[in-house]
Amino acid sequence: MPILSLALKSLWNRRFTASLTLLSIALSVALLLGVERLRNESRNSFANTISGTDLIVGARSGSIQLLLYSVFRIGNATNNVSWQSYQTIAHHPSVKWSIPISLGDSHRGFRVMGTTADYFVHYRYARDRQLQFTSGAPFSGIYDAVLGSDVAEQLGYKLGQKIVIAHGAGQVSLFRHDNKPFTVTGILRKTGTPLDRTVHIGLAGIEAMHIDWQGGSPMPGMRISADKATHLDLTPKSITAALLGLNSRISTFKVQYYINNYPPEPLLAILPGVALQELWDMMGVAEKALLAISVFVVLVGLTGMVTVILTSLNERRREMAILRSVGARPTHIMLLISGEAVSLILLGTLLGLALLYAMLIVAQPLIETRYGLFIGLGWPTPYEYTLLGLLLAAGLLVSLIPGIRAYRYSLADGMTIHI
Amino acid sequence: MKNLVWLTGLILMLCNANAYANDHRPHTAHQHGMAQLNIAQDGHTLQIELSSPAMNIVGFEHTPRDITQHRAIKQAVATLQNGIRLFTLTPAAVCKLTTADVDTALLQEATKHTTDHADFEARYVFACQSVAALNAIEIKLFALFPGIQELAVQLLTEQGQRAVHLTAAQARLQLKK
Repeated sequence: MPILSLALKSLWNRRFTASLTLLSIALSVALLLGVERLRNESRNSFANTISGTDLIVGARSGSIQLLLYSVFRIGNATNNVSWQSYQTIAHHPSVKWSIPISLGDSHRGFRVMGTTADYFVHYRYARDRQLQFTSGAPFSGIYDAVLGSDVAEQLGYKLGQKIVIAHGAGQVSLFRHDNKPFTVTGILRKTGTPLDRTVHIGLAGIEAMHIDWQGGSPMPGMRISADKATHLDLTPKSITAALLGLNSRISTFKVQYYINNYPPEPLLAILPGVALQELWDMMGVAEKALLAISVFVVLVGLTGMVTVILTSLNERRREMAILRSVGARPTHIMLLISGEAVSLILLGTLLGLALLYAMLIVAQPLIETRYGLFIGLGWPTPYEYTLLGLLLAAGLLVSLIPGIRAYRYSLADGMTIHI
Repeated sequence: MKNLVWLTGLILMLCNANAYANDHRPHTAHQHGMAQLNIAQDGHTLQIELSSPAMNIVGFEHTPRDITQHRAIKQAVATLQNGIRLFTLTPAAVCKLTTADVDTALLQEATKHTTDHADFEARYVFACQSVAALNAIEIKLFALFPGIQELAVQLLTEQGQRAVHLTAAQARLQLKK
């Protein structure tokens, strides 16, 4: 015990270098745990976005691509699915429910998704949780819109608000559907998924917006008013993708086979859970690389600490000689120096944890709004404890290096003071 | 005469179209050593679909050329029919094999002599009394058909969808996390 207090006092004496060492260890610990946290939480958040959907149907491309654009609103579709094909598939005897999705427009940087009211009935996220409204109800009219919670919160929208939807997905758009404003009729409760950042409107609404458009821009000299458009045929010609729920899981592979070999149109049906796993397998390499980098940063931190202590040993020969003269044994000296290193690591780890949580508190809302990722502030997971344990073990091991060095110095020097 | 030519042409075209519709097989990945297992559970029913290149099962992918090859195919089909031997389900679940269908292009006499790949397809349906007890499936395919080195499994259960890779060393499929 007196050795520990001696070690701490000696550290306090060199508080400037010691605090820098402490900081480097703390930063490396925060990085190691931060990378791990981010990896885990992004997985969870992805896995929680869709639940209860048996198949996702889109134009033939890659399964991961289809998953990303249809569920996570990342990237774009290569092609559309014709309304006819969608109708045929939706009426397949094994299909219980289907949700068509039409993407491509935006509102002030938020994606606009065209769908049907079935979406609010059948869509499930996390573990079989249904969408709920904080206020209002699903859209019923052509020019009704339902907002995700983030959209309403960030733009300060209330029920009854008129919004104008822009063509394309950019933050600044040249073309706006300003002759057909939509009215907010519902705001969804927060889900922690990309849904919170989506504006939902009916498929007929999407069709009405584009009825006087051709080739991606408004037809000159032809403006069909919002009112007039409602009297026209607003059956969509195509959709971006569709989510399917089946009567029985057993028929999943059969329906998938049927869709993948649908003769009139090249379509792709994917199992969302399996596609998500394919995505992890791909990301696994990058994740391992990140983890390896943070492990190396920790090693650099530890090496830095050992270097600092070793260089200070020469300066502290006088201190050790004095300690020896008042009865300290070489083992005591060794314990003193190693103890110093260990307490640096312990303090550094604690500081690193504090730093991590402080950063999470600050960055959490930012990450959530920017990337739709919800990073939880829970206690460290068992895996994180294992990482910390390994780190402490490694620290203990390297702290022996200056300890042994000091032991040998004090044996050789004895009580003579070398300057 | 001209009309006749026209008609023949039309008939040929229709036949062709028809053949296309019947023959339209998916170009699923066909990789020797690999086989696909699709497993779905709903209620008391457990369905397992196996699809493997014929190379893994009998060692060749053409229609049988002699009596030995013919016998090899017959024997492979018989082994594959025996679903109980291929998959050991948790005994506590009390599962019964209700259906076992085995099909291979090699058995169809009509199959043209082509250099194309050929597959074995099998479908098994089990009825389980207590699904809650069904924890794992021990897959004996690796032992019975050494040509199968890797199984790509797609698993659909109440707990969601999963993809698992199994090998001879890891032939036990855990159904619950």
